[in-house]
Amino acid sequence: MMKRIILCALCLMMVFSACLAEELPTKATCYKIKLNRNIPAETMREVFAEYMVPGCEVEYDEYRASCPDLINGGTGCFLTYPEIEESEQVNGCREIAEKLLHTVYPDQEPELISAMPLRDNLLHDLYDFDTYEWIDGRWYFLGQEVTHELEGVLKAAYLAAVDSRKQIEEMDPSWILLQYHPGPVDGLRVGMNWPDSDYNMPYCMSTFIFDGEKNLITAYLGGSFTMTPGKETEIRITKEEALQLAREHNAKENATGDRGFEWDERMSDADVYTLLLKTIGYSSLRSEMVLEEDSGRLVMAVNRKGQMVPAWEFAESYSVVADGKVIKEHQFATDYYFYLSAEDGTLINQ
Amino acid sequence: MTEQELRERLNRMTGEIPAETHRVFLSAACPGKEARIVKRKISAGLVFALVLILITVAAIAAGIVYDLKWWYGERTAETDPEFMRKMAENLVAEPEQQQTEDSLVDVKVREVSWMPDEGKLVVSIQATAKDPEHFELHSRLALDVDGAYDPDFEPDMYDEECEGHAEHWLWRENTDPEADERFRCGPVPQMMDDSSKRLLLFEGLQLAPLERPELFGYASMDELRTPEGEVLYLFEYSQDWMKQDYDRQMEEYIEEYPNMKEYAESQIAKAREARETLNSEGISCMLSYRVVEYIEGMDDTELYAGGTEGQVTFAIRTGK
Repeated sequence: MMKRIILCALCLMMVFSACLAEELPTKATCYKIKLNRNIPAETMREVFAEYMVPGCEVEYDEYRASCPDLINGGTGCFLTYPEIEESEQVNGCREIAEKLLHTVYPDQEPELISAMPLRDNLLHDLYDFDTYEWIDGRWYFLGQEVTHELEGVLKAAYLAAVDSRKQIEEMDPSWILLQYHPGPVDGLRVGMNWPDSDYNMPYCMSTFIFDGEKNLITAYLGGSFTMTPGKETEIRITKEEALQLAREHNAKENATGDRGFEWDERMSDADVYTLLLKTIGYSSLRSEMVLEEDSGRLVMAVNRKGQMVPAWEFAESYSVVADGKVIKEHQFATDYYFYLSAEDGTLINQ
Repeated sequence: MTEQELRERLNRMTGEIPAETHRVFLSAACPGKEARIVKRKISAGLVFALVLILITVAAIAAGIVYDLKWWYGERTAETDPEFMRKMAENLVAEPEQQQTEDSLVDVKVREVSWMPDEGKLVVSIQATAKDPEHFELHSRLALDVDGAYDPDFEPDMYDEECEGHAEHWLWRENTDPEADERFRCGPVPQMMDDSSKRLLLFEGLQLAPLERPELFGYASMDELRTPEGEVLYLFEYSQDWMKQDYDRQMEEYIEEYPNMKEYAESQIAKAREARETLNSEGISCMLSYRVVEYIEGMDDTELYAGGTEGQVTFAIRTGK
């Protein structure tokens, strides 16, 4: 009897696991794509003018509209932290942003990938790129509180990020950032980056920044595309195989390329580096590129032939290593993606 | 306003949206989008002769002297008369210099101007083929400017408007002021003045003090090829220590951050020493360059790192 119960329980577990397992398609259609991004300045003015902050000077350019008196150009145009925070304010802004996106890109079904107060986004940005954290109104650099003394060293080392920190401190927390990416193609999400691996511009990502009254401060339209179906391809590479290939790729690149750096290379001179180390209590700082193993996902990515094909997307990031110990992970985590063909595992974007 | 109303407005202005223009790649990934291959419709020899005559006549008529005054006054349209005055005031033309033996090119430092009030140092250099009868000289930086060179390029890549190419392309400045585009470009042999000659590519690698190579920091660079076939480079350095009021700024920094006193004082001392050297015997510097002969289909490693390297040593000092 006991054997039957155990057998039955095992069967149930197998069924349950199968239900939980990610279902992957076995075939996918490849597409030839045509990009569209050319929204002239006059068109931007015509479409966006009445949504911009009233009374504020607005600069219109190809696929951009922004209020330079309120925000620095380019703010929010890179993907920093893809997370969606639900709120009434976010929902109101989404309605406007999606109406405008549908107006200029009627063929595109955009997908919201990031929605949060702009200040939160910039904080992530400052943490990911410059290793600064803002906790209870105090700044921390690589985990060390930024005292007046450390501030002096950081200024000499050109690591003070004074403007970014000031911008965050003074920013109205009601400002909202929305980032859109092309919606899924045949059920698969679109790859994050352009074909060239070093080209860290998110693929067709559009950004909107609203003030607390749901007026637009910045609109940046990243583009859309139309697709022509091509051949059908088989998805032969499993997630486990892709991860193994990704590890091999990362190891090979690290062995042959210049993918890590000593922090003294970033300093104006050796004396500053010594002072920085002494102040934060380490004897060496190094950044190393590592594979973000959990980032693997099957997407439709653009290869170097301008075709959208099924591929495994992986991210790489930097780990900051102090005295041989990792003290910060995921630096620049949204910048470095590479793509492995889901058909044969070859690298398709390098 | 409804989405429909918005779209109607849009259509009135620009026609159906989206117009599939692919400009995204052309603006983001292919800066050389306006580039078009210049197709030869008449014989190369005749074109060469005509172009040479026209360019020579134009240059003589215009009386262009490619000096720093021209570089900042005409090419970059520097509008600050005070900057121009200081540059001229501190100018040293053709400082004493020594080039290592080189059978292919003559390289010389043409002009140097150190502007202490601006914290700027500008240096122009010139490379000339030793044997212009048989060699044509261009800048290595004029090769594949758009980044669209890809030895594995296949047609239909990205999209039909993105002009990727599997062969190297050379960029030329349009000397005709009436030309629509500032540059023209195309496969190397088609862009040479005389493709029967051998092509030399010159690259200015580094210009730095001999004793303290890090002193000047990184240069912003510009380069051009004159109608006479010389390749010119401009190196511009901006460093706080070069400024006259650097010491005062550092004193203020010390006041704000007393913990940095020792460091800041050592920086002041180094800056003073460098400025005094500039004002007296000058700072001995070395210009490193590389020359490689371009051969169609050559190995890219050889193209990017091969050839021969040479140096020119000279001293930078204030012109006052």
